[in-house]
Amino acid sequence: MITAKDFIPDKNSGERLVANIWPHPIVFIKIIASCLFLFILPVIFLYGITYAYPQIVENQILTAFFSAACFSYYLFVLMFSLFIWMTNYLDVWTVTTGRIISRRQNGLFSRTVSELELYRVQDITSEQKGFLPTVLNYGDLYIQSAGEQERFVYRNIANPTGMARTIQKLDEEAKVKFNRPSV
Amino acid sequence: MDTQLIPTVAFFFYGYFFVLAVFVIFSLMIIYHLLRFGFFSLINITVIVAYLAVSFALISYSFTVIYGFDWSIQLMDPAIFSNITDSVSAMKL
Repeated sequence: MITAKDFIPDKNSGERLVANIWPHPIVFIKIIASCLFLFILPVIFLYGITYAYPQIVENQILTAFFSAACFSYYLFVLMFSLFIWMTNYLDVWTVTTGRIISRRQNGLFSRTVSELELYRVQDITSEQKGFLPTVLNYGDLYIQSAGEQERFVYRNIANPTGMARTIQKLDEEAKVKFNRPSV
Repeated sequence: MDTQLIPTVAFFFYGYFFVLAVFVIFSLMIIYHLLRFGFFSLINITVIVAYLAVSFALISYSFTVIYGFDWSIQLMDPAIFSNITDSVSAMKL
């Protein structure tokens, strides 16, 4: 577990942490809401079926089947919710004074770590589409680079315009520091 | 027909135990990832603890419910088979 608040993977000398970026809290709220909905669903189904066919409760075989199916369903939903949470929570961008490090958990057995030197940044675009993103101020951030991975995309981050401006500023500072002309 | 060959309600519960085994293995792997790559933050710890608590409560409750059933109840009425075998033997005669 990462304990240091200013943790930077493979830290270079003089490098300073600017921000760790996670998806906007609304993404996590949506996960929790979907999870709660999926938890309530069998209750509604079972209530409806026992209301329509009360004799089912007296049938031991059907009751046993519904019990096993229901518990299996709940275990699956619980596990799936934690999995979705994990893929979002472990999807982190670390912005430092020299680099952007993207750590992405694609699945249980798939993890991608990519790095972008700030002086390689060519273009930064932020995008907010839709009612909720506009009201809650979240959206996508696109960074075009001259590196191997040409386009860095981070979806559903908080204040994408502000973050784009911060990265732009850091990019200019990095270009001055490394004496590289603006692209 | 030998009534021992007819599956009982336990068939469902063995299925549930299989799902439970998959759940435990995958949960451990996900928690490992959260502990290995996640930050030592209140939200991360809270999510892991809440998940373990809910899982424990759900599994305990499921065990109480499942053990309350009579596992020897057969899924099909053995009389159906005895009727069929009786009819077949009657036809042969």
